[in-house]
Amino acid sequence: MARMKFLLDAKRCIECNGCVTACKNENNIPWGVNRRRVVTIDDGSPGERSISVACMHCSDAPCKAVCPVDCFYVTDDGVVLHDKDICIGCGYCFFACPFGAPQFPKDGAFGDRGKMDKCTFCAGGPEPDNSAAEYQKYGRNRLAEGKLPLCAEMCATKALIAGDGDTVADIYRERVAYRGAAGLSWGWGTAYGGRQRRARGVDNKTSSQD
Amino acid sequence: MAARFDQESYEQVKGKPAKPMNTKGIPVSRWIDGVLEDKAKIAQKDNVRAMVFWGHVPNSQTRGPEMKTAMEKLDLLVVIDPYPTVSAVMHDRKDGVYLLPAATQFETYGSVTASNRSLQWRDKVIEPLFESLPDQTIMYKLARKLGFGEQLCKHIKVNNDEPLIEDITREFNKGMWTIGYTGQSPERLKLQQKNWHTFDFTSLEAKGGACNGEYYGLPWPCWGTADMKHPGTPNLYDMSKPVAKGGLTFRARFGVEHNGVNLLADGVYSKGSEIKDGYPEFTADMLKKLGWWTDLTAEEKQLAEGKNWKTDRSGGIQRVAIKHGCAPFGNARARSVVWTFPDPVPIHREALYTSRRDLVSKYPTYADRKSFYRLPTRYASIQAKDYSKDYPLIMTSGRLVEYEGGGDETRSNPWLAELQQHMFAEINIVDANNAGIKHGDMIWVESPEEGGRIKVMAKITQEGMAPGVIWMPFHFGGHFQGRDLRSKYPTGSDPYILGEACNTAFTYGYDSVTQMQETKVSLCRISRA
Amino acid sequence: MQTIGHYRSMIGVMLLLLAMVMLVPLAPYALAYVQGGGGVANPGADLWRDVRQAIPGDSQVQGVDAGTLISARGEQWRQYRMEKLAPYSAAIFAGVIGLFVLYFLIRGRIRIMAGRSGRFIRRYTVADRWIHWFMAAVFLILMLTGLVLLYGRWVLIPWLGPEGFSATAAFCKWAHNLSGLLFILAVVLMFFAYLREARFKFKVDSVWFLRAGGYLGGKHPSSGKINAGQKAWFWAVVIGGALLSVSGLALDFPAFVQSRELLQDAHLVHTLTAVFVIAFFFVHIYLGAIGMEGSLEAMTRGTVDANWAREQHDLWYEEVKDQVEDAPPDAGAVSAADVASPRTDA
Repeated sequence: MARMKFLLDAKRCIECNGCVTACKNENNIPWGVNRRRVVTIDDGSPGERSISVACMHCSDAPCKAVCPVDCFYVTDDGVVLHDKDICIGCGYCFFACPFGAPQFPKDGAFGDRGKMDKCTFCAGGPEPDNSAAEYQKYGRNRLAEGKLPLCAEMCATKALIAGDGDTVADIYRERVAYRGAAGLSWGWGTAYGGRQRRARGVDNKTSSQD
Repeated sequence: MAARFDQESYEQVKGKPAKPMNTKGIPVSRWIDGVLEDKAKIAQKDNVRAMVFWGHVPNSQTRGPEMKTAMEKLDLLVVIDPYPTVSAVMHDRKDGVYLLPAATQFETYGSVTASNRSLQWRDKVIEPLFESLPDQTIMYKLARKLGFGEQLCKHIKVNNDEPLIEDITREFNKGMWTIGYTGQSPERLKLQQKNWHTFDFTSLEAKGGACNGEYYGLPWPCWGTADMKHPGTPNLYDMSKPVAKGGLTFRARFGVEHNGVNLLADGVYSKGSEIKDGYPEFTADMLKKLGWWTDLTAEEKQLAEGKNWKTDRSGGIQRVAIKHGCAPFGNARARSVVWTFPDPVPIHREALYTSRRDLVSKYPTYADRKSFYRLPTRYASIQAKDYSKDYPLIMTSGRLVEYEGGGDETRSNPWLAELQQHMFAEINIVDANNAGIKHGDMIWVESPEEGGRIKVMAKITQEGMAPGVIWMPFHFGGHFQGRDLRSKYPTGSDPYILGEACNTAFTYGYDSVTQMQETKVSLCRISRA
Repeated sequence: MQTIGHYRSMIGVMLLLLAMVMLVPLAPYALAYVQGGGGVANPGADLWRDVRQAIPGDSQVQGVDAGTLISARGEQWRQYRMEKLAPYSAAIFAGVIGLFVLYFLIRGRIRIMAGRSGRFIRRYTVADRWIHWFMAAVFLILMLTGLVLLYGRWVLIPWLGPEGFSATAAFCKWAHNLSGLLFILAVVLMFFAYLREARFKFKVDSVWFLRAGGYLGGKHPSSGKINAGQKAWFWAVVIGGALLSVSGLALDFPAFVQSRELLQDAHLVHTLTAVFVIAFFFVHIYLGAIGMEGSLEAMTRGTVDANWAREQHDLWYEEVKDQVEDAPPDAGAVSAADVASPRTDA
């Protein structure tokens, strides 16, 4: 069985927020809840990097570990999902997550956060696949239709990749090999095969800054 | 109506001036001067009295406060758009403003042209919402009201007030010879739509299938009639391919010689060309001289007699030229000296509003013009004044990834609006500290434009912005000089996010050839609000 | 004489050859050293180091922590809660309860040595008792709901099922969050109600502590109205209560600018304090209600037996012995005398 993974090629991400918009649209997410976000480090400086992050569907998920009502479950292909009917909105999963993936629709008094919402890898939730209830609570279930998460499908530069971990690893390996240059292989000057292009005389730019 | 291609009506001929209807009109960037300028100084008999904004957003134009005045002075303002736009709220008119809801691209069907010159046929996805009507219907209804609806749709079938798009397509197929919009018939475009999957992403060529050999979207120029089945031109001026297969030479647009210098290509020609040298634009006479006239059919000869590749309604001249491997518009050289422009070779002319007064004497702007696109147009008289003491910072504008154009549509999209919630000015930390401004403060940005003051949020950056320059996005609207105009929108039509339009503050300045407005360079000062 | 000298050059050459054979393979390393490393370090290393240290970037998405890509603190918090708090607190509670079970089995209930005299002294006013039981009720709710939220996943889900426990936990969360505000009120009331009695007097209280209150045998030490142990419990409730209140408020109203870090810290303070107070609470229950004859009625009826007073709080008994009464007032009745009874100075 495939084990699903996300991978972000940090040198290809152009901070277009297409993934964020695709997710919000496909899953009809309300204002204030953001399953996916793009973080830009060193904005405006040379060496600026952008990374798109949502739930990383960890193998030993901290959210699952700390939940007081044990509402998380992991599917056969490694996707971490939860049951909104069981969730009591305590926020502990948010405390534990290193990526800030859990989101809450309310910020009411007495800790009234509403039900936790997070990236589902477009795999819906415990409701029957592709039912109206599933869509209303969890958004689209693309995996049940044999498709992949829409954020990765929409990525303009194929910086964000999602799918079977082995295939993702293959793409990573391919890019590293194609770009050459060992430690510099994950670099902006080589993000689209700079060294090979220069060798063919296609462009004369040198990769000055990684 | 004047006869087709009556060239004389476009020029001053036999001592009679050309009819105003046939001379260059006032461009959109200057419409407010058409309203506000002294009538005697405009090259038409009256001021502009009515405006129809058809898919236009006023916050894309400069000199906002003057625009507000102009809007209020009009007899009539009509806005045709899926969104009310800033046009609905910017002015303080109490009547004489009409909002006509236009259908979006999803609520109608037909051909669309992309910026790579490909045409695609699109289908209607949803019935028009509310009372929205497609543009073609609105055009027909307006034309009918003005008395020439029948003429407009003489060859176009009209069903329930909606002109048939296929017929409109065939109409431009019959007339747009100069840019090659003639080969993309509705049938060919629809066939490509059904066979999307057969086209290669990189070369755009269909590999097998019903459209084999065609390029996706039949990119113009797609020469000749649809029957000729020209595949479209994916890359301009690609001489490695025959013209019949999408190759092209450079057009002979500027004549055959200038100042004794030959302008035609010298010994270079596209693959398969029977003329192995440069050649001018094709005319009927040229075909005869070449001995290719006999290749025309009888019907083609009738229509092509005495015409050229641009005016031959049969398309025969184009067809025969291409048959012999030649491009209908000639084979010439590009020019880097544009002798018809005020500056044949681009030279630097310092901006009208500049902080570099030392460059003004060395690189002065143009002299004022008494009448340009019908209006007096100022250059030197503005540059003569030194604004840099009171307005020391350069201001420029640009795009945000989340929004597009005037922003009414994208700021009404909740997913995009959430990502850019504030109009802002991006300022270097040195300028910010000098003005006592911190990141997130509300500030005034004021320009030499009369009343040009906007209230925006300060975004301070260490390295992203050079000192001495501020940058603003141009997609916002719905605030005006510090006032929030949300309540003025028709109920339910206000975008989620409103903000100042940066062009409210941008100043006078127009390109010497196109009259394009100066939205990228002006002066300003900033202060805490 | 043709000895070693003859072979000197041969030996020299051999030694030279040996040296070359050993040193030449090291040449590339020397070259690399001279050239400066033999490769370029990944310039992105600094950036990723910053990311791992949770140095924030920017994001178009609004939110308090939106610019922080990775925060390892979450995992530290998870380990604290799951691997330290849950198991150790259970051990501590079990230990304390176990200790008292043991104590009870060995020592039994501590009786009034002289037996009941049948004569009574008023000890706590109506106000005292209302405040105490108000605090007790609120504290019990908070303690029980808090323990459900910590342990329910293992203890109650098998019994109630996931949906049943979810409803229970949701109710407990609400009850806990609302009672928290009542608790703040109770702490404040309690603070002012018992402050005067609770001030430590070094001479008397140090002796009481040294003698472990007499609970482990030996002579019963002196004590004022409330003994040193009771004073310690008072301060535990007040200080612990203050810590629980402040951290509780941060957790109860996350709508402001609390970052994940602040909430994790608040949870840490809240839970550590709660464990301490709950453990101490078990002591208080045992000593106040179970393990000592004559103690509970002080807080239910408001009066104590004269002999109990003389044995347990001798210094206080000396001050109030002239107020001994023959018959106990009706339990629960509120009389003018009760309300107006003068405060006694400890």
